[in-house]
Amino acid sequence: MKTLKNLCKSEEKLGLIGIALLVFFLIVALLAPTIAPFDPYERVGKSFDTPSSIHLLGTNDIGQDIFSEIIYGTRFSLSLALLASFIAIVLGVLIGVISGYFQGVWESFFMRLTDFILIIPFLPLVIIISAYFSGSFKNLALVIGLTAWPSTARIIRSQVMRIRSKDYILNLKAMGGRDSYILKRHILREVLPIIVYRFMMMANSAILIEASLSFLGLGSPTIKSWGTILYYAQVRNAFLTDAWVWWILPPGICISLLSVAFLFSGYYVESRLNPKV
Amino acid sequence: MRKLFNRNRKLYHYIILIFLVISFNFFLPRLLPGNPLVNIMGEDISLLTMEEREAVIERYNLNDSIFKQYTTYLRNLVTLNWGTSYSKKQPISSVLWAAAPWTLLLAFSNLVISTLIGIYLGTKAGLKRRKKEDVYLLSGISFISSMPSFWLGMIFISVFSVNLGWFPIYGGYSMWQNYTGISKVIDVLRHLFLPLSTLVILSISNIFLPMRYALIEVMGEDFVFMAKAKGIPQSIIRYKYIVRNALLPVFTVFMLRVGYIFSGSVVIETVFAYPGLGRIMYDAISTRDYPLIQYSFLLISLMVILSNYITDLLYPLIDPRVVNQHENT
Amino acid sequence: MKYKSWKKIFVIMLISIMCITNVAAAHSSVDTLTISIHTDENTLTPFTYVRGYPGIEVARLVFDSLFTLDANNQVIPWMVEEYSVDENFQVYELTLRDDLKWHDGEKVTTEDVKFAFEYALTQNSSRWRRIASEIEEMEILDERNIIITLENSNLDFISNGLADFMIYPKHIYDGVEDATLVEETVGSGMYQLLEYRSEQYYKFKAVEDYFMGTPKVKNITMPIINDSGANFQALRAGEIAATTAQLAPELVETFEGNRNINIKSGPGFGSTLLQFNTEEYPFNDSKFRQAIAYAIDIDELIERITLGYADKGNLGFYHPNSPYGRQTSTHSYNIEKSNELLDMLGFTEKNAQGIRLDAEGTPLEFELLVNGGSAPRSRTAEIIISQLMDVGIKVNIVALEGNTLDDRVWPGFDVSHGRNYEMSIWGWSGPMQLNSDALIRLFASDFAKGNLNIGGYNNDVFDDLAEKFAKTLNLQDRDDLIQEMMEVIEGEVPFLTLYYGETIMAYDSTKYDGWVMQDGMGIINKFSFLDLDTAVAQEGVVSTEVEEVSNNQSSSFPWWVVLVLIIPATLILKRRKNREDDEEVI
Repeated sequence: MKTLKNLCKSEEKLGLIGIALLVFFLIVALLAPTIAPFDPYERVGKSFDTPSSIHLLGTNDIGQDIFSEIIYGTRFSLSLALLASFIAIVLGVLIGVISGYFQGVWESFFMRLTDFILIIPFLPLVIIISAYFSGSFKNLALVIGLTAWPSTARIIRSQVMRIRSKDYILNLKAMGGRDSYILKRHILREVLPIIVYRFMMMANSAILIEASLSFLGLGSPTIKSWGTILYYAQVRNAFLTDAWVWWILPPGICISLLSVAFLFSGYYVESRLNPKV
Repeated sequence: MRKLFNRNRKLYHYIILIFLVISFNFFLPRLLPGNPLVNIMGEDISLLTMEEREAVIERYNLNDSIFKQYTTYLRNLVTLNWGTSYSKKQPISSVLWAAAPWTLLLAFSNLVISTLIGIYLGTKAGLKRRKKEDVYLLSGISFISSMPSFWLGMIFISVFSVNLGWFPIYGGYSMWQNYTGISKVIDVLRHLFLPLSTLVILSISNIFLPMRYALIEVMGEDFVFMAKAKGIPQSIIRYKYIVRNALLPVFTVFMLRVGYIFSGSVVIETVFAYPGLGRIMYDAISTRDYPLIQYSFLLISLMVILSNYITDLLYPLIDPRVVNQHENT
Repeated sequence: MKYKSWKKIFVIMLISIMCITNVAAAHSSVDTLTISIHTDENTLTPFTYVRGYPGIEVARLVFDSLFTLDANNQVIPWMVEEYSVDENFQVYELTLRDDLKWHDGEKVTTEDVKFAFEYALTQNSSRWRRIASEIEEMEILDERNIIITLENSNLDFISNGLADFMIYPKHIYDGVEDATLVEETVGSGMYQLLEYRSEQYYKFKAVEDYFMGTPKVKNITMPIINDSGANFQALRAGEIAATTAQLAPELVETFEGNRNINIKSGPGFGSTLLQFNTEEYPFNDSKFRQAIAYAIDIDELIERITLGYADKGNLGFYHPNSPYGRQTSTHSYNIEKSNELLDMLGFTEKNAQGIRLDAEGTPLEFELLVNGGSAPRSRTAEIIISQLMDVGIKVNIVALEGNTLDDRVWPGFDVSHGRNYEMSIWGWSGPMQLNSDALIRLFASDFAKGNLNIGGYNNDVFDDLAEKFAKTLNLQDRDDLIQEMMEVIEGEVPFLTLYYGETIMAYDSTKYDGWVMQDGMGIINKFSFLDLDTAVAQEGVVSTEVEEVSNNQSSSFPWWVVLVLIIPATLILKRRKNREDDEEVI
């Protein structure tokens, strides 16, 4: 009885929804060429066409099929979120583990750096950094990854510090266990669920950041991400005409759904992580 | 003795941070590609001879060594001689002061409203753990917080301003009406409504999630069981024991958000053309307006540092356990 | 229970806010016109405005110049009553009108004129400096007469110099080291700036005794609305009478359905072009540039991006409606010719992706820089690369932030600093079309003259013509030379002018209907608020009124028929007998 009740915890229900959504988007992304009725780069209709049986969501400002754009957009938004959060997680874990485990000079250096980056307002910082780079797909992921790691680093550090002072680790150390061995075998293993959880959270915000950057015109206008679709819808005044219903609503809903899918999956990991919750 | 040292160490730490931020603000805009000349001299810059251009560069000290520019910057900073904006051609301080109240109004009302709603809903969800209400609240709030802010703003504009005509679609107040007294207040509120609603909707989860989480954690603590065992009435346990303790971590989140009150929301201010600091900063970056970038960034960063510092000072007063923890590390 | 009560409170709050505010939003008086301005232009003085448009154009309501351009961009004397120019175009003798006054009541004298030119040399503004630096000396004869002598003769000094240069008061600026710090805005123009609030609004009051007549609108308020969409929405909601922002082509249809709103469109002079770095292989070969030009279907660009609201780019850069443009130099789209040229250049082999290879086997793959912040430009780039792919040239778009792009194409805004790009979507602003020396500045290989030669173009034939041009003192000869230079450029394609976007302006005709469209500029100009009896201004009114008819046939047809009949009639009558004005007024 009790296990059953535990399984039904709010987080786990949501977690399942989240994972289902992620799988859905993954399938859409993989099968984009077969699902999409048109090549999103091809100018297949007249500009600013309203929805019809041929163009389910109408066409954009240069006559590309919006529905196909959104299908293909899944690829970019999903892979961008994964790549950006991967960069952020790798940096965050590396810095968190080094400063949590070894401490000393490096710790204070990294922790000052973390504090510092956390103090600078996030979006303006991203704006400035992206002004250095041209708005290509890789650079966009890099910009987000480079600015989003500090919170992860902090959390990982405190976890590593907690684990490090556990008796068995201290014993291992006393027995002459090498640091690399302890790190790999024990510490990383113990923080792994947290890493997964943080990854989900990062992906959740990476999607939103990409959308905001594209909206401000700092993304890449040439890749077909959902943010870019919204950017063009906005600059071509879609929200002053009826076009907002088919040009602005759908990509925004996709962004919200994908981003919440990561969030829900994160809840699931978290509930597994912390038995008290 | 030790306490004193600890406090000093904290202060020392903050001073280093402030210095870092001040220096960073100086170098950051200067590392950007492009230069501010076209904004200083206008669009016909190509017509000028090299000498004429040099003269202007000289006048703005853009030719000095970076080190000299840096010391000039430090001196001006301390003497409050912040100079004029390249692009707006007005004193920096007046540009910033004109924008700050709008950002404060928007950010502060958002902070208060979203915190109250977040605490209220968080308590509701946390106490009703594993019931339907919790699932609804958690999923609902997670979903709305995952909406892109500019998108929500655009939808609001389309629906409430363009189609229904209930609210104005831009700005902080009606600029051509000479409202006074109560009608002016109402006018400002009317302009505030949509951007504020957008912000509130998107920020509820910032308080809701920690509140709910903290409640669940506190509910599992030993002292709650003890209280139950002692037969203390349910309502007293709930509000005196659980909620009060759960508010502590929420306080940290709250203070952190106070720190960001000046940074406003670049995106929301852009969507609603709200005359705040976020937009000014964004424009300053795109026009390479070095002084304006520097000082707006500085203002925002200092605010964050200040609120962090206050949190650090207040926390031990609210939660005595913290002092011991600090001494251990 | 609790949810319900919350909801109730919320709804009540919402309704009450709306009710009260709707009452508060009463309409303003009739003699005040609200026109939104889409950028903050500071205090609108000659030294503090930010952009050429709308900054300078709005500032011209406050500050006058000695001459001015009328609605058809013809030079007419303005502050000047009489003038004469010597045959060398070097000595200009001017007589000021007698009824010129600064807004603070002081008289405008030749002292002010002399001071304005001299003072400009001490300030940063490149626009005024360029004009003032041409002057060798100024001699004041009396309060109203002055002789200006140039260092070199200049045929265009009036149109490019005196018609542009704003005169500002000596008693305000004298002794001020940095003119941007002057906070008062005191001009001699038809409107006086009463109040300016940064990022908020401007308020203007008409100068009753203005020398060209009392302005037709007593007060103008200009709220600053940075967001273009917000400008149009305000217009549609009836909150403003007009806006400095140009109406986006995609909104024309929606706005035409609104019965209060009229739309005027006219040729625009701002250009969008495909810039080549002609110092770089293979762009240094004119045959290759021609091949690219033939491969680009400009008609599709115009149809897709501007929805037809643009004129096709002329190979010779000048717009057909500009004083120097010609109708004959249009570009043609011809894929066969493009392929032929590319084959001829030896790019015959293709790789697996269908990209042509050069003699060394390197694929023809290039970078196209574009300002990522400009949607029309990045869309232009997007279409161009797919068109070029059809002839086997692969182009990758690199989207950069505006300032970063400038830094690569035009480092330091000095063409002698070199350039770091292959192709770029670029553009020059409208006033370039009015300059007789535009081609020289764009293409002369001597960078002192060709200070806009961002492609590093170098052609001896052109340089010889430019040399001749500099020595010519005859208007006809000079125009012939411009034609010759244009011919050279047409064959060489140092850059490809894609299109000139049209100026589309929308206004609420129920609030004010006296708008005059200035070619390439828009409706916010002096002539929109003056009742001038000069033929030029009147013609402008008539032609544009006719245009409105076609836009509004469905909504208010009978009204316009009447107007169309009446206006030419009044014109004719007015010219014949000036005395009975009252009779003709409807």
